[in-house]
Amino acid sequence: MDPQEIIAQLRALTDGFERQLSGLESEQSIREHQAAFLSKKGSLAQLQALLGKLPQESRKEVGAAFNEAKQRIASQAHDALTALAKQAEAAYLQQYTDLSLPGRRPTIGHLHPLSIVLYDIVDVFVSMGFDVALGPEIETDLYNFEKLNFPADHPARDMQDTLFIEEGKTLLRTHTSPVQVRTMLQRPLPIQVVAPGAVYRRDDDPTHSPMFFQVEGLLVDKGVHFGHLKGVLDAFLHQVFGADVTTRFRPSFFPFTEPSAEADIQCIVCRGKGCRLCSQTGWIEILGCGMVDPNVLAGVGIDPEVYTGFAFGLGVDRIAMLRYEGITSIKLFYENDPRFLGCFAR
Amino acid sequence: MLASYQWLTALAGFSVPPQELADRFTFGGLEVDSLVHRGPEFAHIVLAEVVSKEAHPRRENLHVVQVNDGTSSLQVVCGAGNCPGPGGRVVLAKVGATVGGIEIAPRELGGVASTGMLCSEAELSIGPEKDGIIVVDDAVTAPLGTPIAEALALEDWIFELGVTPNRPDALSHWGLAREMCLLYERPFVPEPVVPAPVDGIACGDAVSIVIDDAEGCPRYAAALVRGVTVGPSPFDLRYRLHCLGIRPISNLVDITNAVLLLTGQPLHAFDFAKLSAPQIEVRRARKGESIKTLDGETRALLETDLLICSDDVPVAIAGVMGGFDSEISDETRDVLIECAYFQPSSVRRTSKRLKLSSEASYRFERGVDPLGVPQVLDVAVPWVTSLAGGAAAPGVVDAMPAPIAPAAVPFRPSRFATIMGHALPEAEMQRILQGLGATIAVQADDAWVVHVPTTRPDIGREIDLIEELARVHGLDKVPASLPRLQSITPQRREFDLIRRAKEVLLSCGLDESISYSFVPASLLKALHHNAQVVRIANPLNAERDAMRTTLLGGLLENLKRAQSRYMHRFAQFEVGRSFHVNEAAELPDEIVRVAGVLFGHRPGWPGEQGDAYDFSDIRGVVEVLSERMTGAVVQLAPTSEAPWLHPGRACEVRIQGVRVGFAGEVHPECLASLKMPRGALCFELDLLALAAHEATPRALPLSDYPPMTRDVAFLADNDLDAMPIAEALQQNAGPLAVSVHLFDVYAGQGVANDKKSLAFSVQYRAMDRTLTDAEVDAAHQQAVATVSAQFSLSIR
Repeated sequence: MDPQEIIAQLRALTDGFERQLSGLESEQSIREHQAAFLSKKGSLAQLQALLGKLPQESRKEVGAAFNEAKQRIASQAHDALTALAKQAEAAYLQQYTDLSLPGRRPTIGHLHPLSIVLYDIVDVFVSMGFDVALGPEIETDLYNFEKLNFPADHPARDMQDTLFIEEGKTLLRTHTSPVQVRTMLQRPLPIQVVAPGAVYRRDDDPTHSPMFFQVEGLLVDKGVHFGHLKGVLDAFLHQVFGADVTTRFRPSFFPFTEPSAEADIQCIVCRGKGCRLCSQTGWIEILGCGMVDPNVLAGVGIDPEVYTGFAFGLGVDRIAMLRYEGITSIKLFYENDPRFLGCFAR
Repeated sequence: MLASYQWLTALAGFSVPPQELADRFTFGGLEVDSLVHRGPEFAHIVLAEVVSKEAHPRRENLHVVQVNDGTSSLQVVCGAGNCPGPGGRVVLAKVGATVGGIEIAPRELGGVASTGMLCSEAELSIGPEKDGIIVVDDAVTAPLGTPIAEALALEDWIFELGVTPNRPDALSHWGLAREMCLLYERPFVPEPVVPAPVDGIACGDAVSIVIDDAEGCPRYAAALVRGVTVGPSPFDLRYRLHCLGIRPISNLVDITNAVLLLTGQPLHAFDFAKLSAPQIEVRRARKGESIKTLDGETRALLETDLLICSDDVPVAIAGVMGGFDSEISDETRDVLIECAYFQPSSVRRTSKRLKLSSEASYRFERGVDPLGVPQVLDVAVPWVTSLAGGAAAPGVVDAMPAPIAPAAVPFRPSRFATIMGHALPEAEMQRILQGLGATIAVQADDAWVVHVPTTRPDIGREIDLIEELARVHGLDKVPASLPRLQSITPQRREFDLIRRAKEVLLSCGLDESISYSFVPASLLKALHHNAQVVRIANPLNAERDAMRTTLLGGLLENLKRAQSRYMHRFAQFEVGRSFHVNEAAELPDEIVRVAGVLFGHRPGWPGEQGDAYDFSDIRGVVEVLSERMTGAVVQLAPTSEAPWLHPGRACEVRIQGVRVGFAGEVHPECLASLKMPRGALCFELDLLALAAHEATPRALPLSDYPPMTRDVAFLADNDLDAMPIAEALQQNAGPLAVSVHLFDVYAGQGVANDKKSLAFSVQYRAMDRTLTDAEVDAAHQQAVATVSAQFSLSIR
């Protein structure tokens, strides 16, 4: 056979490949088309089988033509595939997504707002080095009152309207303070604990719930004085209400502390100017506190001449109502409406 | 305690602006809850005189009155029956005044113009009288047209003090004036008293007193005034009482009330003629005795109640309430005024039991001043004669079985700095203590004895004196400092466990509930929690008196409330205590429980509507909670021991073989009895019992070689449990099987009616090599053959 004829047929094949390629639109058809020409049984291989019949001197030239044709086909197929990939990429990038749809949200529950605030309070004291103590919610008169220096038949008992299980013996604890007594009886000195928990009083109005939450604090050691009480509570109030909040301590009375005080913060809404939240006073009462009464220490076998201590107690519900806007009644905390619980992030 | 600024400043002998005084009181420990200015509300209300009074032409009971307001004559229509004739002086609210919240404007009444209003005490809120207008008496000398606030001396500021139980001294104007002088570093000088005229037989000869119970009554004194005329008090006294929250009644009663407000000492006035004998005996009641009190009620008495008797007939319950039969009336001529000191706890017990609380019992309970008795009578008796006439019997009777002395309190000045962390000069301490009325005996360096006046029964220890010094000196002057906290071993496992349980359940998508610990007993009954419950003896709401024995009640109440508010998806948990009767212990048992309720649809997304929650959801929550809390595998097994659960969807939750709670669907009958739709799923576990099985986590060996999976689908009877098959596959598939996973449950076309298809996928993997098909096939076929034989399954 004439080498030139083979070269001409080769050209016709490659031209045909190119013509047909331009009509192909899928990766698979391009790859099949390429295989039809370049595979072992493809049209080029069939033509190449004739190569052995050529005279030696023309083989080189024809061989080079074959190589060139193969390269051309391979490169044209590659270009077509690349163009196709580009086209697909462009189409993918053009896809429409409705970005306005809501997110597919993982469902995570909401911690109750009272728990959020309670843990915030406890965490501040734990970070200062206080431990946590818990106690029973049904208490004896002894721990709830007697050991806390509330004598029977004393008007101080009127300060806390009590829900009794058995009058004079057992009751729903009216404050977390009995945990002070239990802790001093159970744990070694020094004592530095906070005691969070539910407490109960016979009260029911938009700012008083018959069940509510308190956090009690107690520090008993040698050399503890009222200045320390102010220091610890100042630090706490600054942590919870902001470093710029002003605090003040007013003398007050609690049977189990002496001297006793109430701590106020400057109103967080009006900054002291006077508003509805603070009843125009510019100040908000936050907690009660004082130096542990010597009778209380002596009652648990701690020598008040050697050890002194301070205690404080604050209402979690009240702080939650100050922190979150829109809580018009303390009752909302105990209704557990899913919409209400859903308002509080953590 | 309500206090009058005008009265206080007059007693103290100096004045500071009302708000400043209020703040100073508050910072001294007497919290002023409110301060009300009386006066500005009387603008445009003046003294006027009736010029003429004629019947209204068209309306019966009305008069057309011309009044002179000092500058002009005005016509007003008045309906009061007591409207005076010409020359009578009245209180005129002119156009522009506000009376009872309504602004006075010109108007017509029955065709007659009225340009103002003649006012009653009640309309101006200056007294209780509402049936007639005020007719001003001759004691008022101000010219016509004088603003009424000035003419009747109405301007005042009323302090409302929240007096703590330790400060009975602050329940009187004397005590508050003394406090005011102390806080402003002024001497307190009681105002001098003009003695009453005296006549007749001496008090001591006219009346005898026997104290039968010296513990209950350490002192009983009385004064006798003869020839009084009972009638209304003058306006200024009535106005003062009104402002201080006490209803004016008659001169004698008003004076006893005014003396109480002035001195803090309750008095009781007996009609001397109505006593059976001129004799008073103080004794305990006898068994079965009773007394008819002032309010007309007959009160049964106990042997612990203290009585005032005359000729053995009870005439008053000591310190609580007087008797009906010896009450002051308009006819009273001779009056015996009691001034006594009763034991506080005795008065309190009786007043609490009888639910009779009065201004008097309130003060006796807190402790009046036993040494102030003569001084109080010195004030009361001349007040009576000056307003009601008559003359005092000379002297008083004063029985005091044992002498009463001021408390002597040892005090170390250095202790102040120990407690307060702040030094106070000794001279300042002396000034404050003397300002309280105490006297100081310095016995040695740092050893004083402070004699505390009996006005301050709360001060009996060194610490009480430190508190007084601190509050008067000012807590704001104590510098804040931080204590050195010790490093201690935490003991807060329960607190931490509760918090962890909450975190796990939040991440399971449940919201936290906090509900009341007391519930209706009927709610517990409806849930078949029939054990005896701990009950509140004096519940706020008689229906909610049972301490919960399960947390499910509260959660179901939350669900019911949510349903009534049109919410149909619900996922909540609660961690809290349940309470259980324990007769053997001092207190009931309290168990920390964790419970949850699911209802409605799982959360969905547009186009991917969530299916309804079913048993597997609640089971999943229990599994995740238990395993996250303990690291141990939880088992759920059908139970018939939870009657509040659907009998076919009730499981007990076990961990390492120990039951820690229940999970399932709430029994539809329980829900029906709570008027709730069926379908709520629930669990409740004993948190500490669960956590007792806490295991230390151990890491599994991890293979890098490829896994091979083999699937098998069995045809099983419809009521056959799936997971035992999975467990059996795992057990029989040899050491190379790392997991068995149920991936399809199918019933329907291609499967017989009473069968279901269960498709499991078993994953095989080796730690040290890539597995071959042959060894995996061998293991798998072996497992499938064994399991299908064991459970009589055919392979689909």
